[in-house]
Amino acid sequence: MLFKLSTAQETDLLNQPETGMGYQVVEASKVGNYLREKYLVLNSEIVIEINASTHDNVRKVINQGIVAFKASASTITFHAIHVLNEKQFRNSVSEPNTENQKGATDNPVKNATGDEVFIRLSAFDNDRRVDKVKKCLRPGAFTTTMDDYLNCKSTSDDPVERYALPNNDEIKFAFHIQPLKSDTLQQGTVQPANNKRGGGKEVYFANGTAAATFIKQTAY
Amino acid sequence: MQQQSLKLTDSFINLLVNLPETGMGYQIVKVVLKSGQILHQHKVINSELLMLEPNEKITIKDIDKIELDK
Repeated sequence: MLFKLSTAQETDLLNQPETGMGYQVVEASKVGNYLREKYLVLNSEIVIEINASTHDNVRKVINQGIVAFKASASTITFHAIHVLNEKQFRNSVSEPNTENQKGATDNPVKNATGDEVFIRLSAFDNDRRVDKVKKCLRPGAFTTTMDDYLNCKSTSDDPVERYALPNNDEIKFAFHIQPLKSDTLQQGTVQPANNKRGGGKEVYFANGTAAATFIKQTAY
Repeated sequence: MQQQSLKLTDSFINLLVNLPETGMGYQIVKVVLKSGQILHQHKVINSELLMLEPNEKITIKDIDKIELDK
């Protein structure tokens, strides 16, 4: 979620050093709550929760503009704000510890729901993980979720960065896969790799999917 | 600069298609050359395009085998 700070707390943060250019990462607890959590603060005035949606939310603020965003945002009040310096912040994020933060293959295997559609993005019409004869995903293939794909597009994010792809070929195709309840998968977050930031959602199908689960191909 | 790549033969493609991906659309592999030289941590895109470093001058005939690299 996203918030704005009170004027008093904006001033407090302005008097403290940045974590990086234009932003501070703070550890703080909300008033009335003793749980300390980390937040990203932009320009000492916009607060963004640090989770899998952080990149999307930063993009929202940039696209909307800080002034316009603040006009409609709710105010959050912290107590005991501690600003992390760059080293402290990097140390704190080096060990992903929740399922959502780990790569897909580090998470438990579970069955598909049968009604969820996953998207495989590719620069290739002849993507070799998509079996167009049996109409299925071959074993050992990655996709992303429909939500993440739509978020990537709606926020004009770069799929090569989001999914940490090693080559810069333009993503042109989206293969829509609807696995059966008998198909298994693992879900997680794309880890930084190939000098790309990652952060998108990834889904791994170790055993591929059943026949007729590749339902359509569209342009990216 | 456009990174150079080498199109693999059908036998290597068929091998890699039956091995798991490292990420969406790519695999990280070890390339063993007939000379004995081993190229680690190379990427293959769509199980068919081996990405080469700028100074690597190898042809498909130089490759003995390809395996997934950890």
